[in-house]
Amino acid sequence: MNDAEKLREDILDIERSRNRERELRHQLEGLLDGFRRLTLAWDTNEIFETLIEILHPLLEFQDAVILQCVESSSIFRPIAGRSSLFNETQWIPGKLFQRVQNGNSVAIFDINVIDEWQQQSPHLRANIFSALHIPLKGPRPAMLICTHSRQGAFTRQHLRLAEQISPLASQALLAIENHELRLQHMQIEQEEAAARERAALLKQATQLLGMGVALLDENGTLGMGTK
Amino acid sequence: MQIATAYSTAATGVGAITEAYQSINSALGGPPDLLIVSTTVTYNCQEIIHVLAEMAPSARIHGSTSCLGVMTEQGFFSNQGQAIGLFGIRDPDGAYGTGLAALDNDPENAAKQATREALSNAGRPGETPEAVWVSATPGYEECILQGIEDLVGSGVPIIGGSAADNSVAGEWQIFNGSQVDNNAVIVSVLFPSNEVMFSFHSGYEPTAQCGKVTKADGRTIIEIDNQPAIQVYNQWTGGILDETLQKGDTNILALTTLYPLGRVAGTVQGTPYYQLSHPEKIINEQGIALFTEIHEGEELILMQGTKESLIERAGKVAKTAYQTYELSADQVAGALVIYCAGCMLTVQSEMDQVVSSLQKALPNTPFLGTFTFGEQGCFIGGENRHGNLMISVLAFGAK
Repeated sequence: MNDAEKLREDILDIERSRNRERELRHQLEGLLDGFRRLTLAWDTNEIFETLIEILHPLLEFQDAVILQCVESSSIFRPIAGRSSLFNETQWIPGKLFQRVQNGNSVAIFDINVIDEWQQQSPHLRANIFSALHIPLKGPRPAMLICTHSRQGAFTRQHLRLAEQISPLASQALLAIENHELRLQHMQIEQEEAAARERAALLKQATQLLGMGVALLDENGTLGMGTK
Repeated sequence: MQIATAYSTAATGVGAITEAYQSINSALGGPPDLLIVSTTVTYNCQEIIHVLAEMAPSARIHGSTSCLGVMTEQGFFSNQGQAIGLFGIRDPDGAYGTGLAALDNDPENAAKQATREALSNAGRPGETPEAVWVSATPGYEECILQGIEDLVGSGVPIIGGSAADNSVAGEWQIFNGSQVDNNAVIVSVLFPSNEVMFSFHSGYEPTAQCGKVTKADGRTIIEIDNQPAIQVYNQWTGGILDETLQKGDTNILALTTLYPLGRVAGTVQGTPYYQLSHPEKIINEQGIALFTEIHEGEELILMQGTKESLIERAGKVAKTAYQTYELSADQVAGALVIYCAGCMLTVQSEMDQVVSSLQKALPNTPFLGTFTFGEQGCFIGGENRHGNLMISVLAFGAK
């Protein structure tokens, strides 16, 4: 190998390493920023929008949806989506979803030959050719699906990124679930407070009735009166 | 994932494939999921697939012919231009499939058809493979790459080599587990459980001589800078074709091996990398026929190589493949090496040194090297290209 050739090779090697380092740093910074922002996001929409904002420059998709397995069923339904395209869809798992549930990210260059996608309406499939399926960890099986209208839009680089992104997306799923739980918890608390209030009023009414001085107005509100 | 190689130079095709297959089966501890077969045309490919149908009924077979011999981690093998080499992958957690299609005047469509068949054979229809391994009979490689890219996308690395024979007599063949063809393409789709790595380079350097193609037809350059291409080329090379032109000969293949024509395939931060074309013969006393397509307006650069660079380069390309992924040699389970037959013929007496350079880059690692009439690979910038006098490596990670 002569000197000029060696020099050129070394430049290419250095550039390759620099590019790789730059890429990894960019990804890492994006993921750290993502975790930080997800902790600040409050409701389901905000969490999903934050996730999409973080992932979009990395995965270059056009649409995205989170599917989750319905409780006590094997069917998947959307719980958050970038557009309304996936609303009301349901997905019966086939070989592809089974592989995703086993923890594999899967890139599809043509959704039209995949069982799970063939079940979907022609309207949904009209503008989608490629899809990237990323498994999400959570109490129930779930996945993030990123889509694109171009055939073969997702490559092995996207798959590598998907593997790194999966924990972040899982974190988002947990945040969404926590938000839902918070909402449920708040609702329960409100119901319990109302019940407590009703019980207190009932107790008070009972006492007043015992004293023979309680009156109820036309709205059923407890009041005091005299004979 | 387990990888092993085997070879034989036995007298008959049946003897050679039986010996080599028994060896690889034993090394892998069972039948391979994917078996890459590289054989010289001196063996009967039909006999090979009959034997494999009995011995390895479950294996996906990807076969093509190689020029004069093969190389593995055990050495360069060519018993009077005869040898067979095997590369087996046993990977229960991965998926592999092969598909073969006749070119039938539509190579692009044949490539798509073969790829679809391979995906179906792997049980992964519609799924983007980690990499595609391709072998085609020479002549339409650009269309074949285009066909595969159109189907699976341009982001999938396509690596492989064109089938070859021992004397450029058109006897090359490709085959799978059931058919042999001399005008076809075979595609293997790879979904390995471990990392795949690749590299595509040549052992040549650009010179200061360059010009623009001003007239071309298919694979023939007719004019460079409005001058007859052969005159420009001869002038660039300092007259290496003077004698040939005086005699009126047309075959220039051997004379031009160290002086291919390059085109910039891409750049990394301003540093270019090149796709090469090998001048094959003189057409109508002024044109140059190549083994690649060429288009008007393309910039050509005269490249120059030495025997030393062709010897050292194979190891360097293999090393680059895993270094790109920041892996070390001991993290490589095995590698497939496509080495241009033209380069091999130039350094034939030093092929042991080529093997040594690969052994140094891939210590204690199985590899199979095939000598091809055209090389396909994926450059550092992600461009899948067909070139001549090049080296293409596909390596598999150990984890």
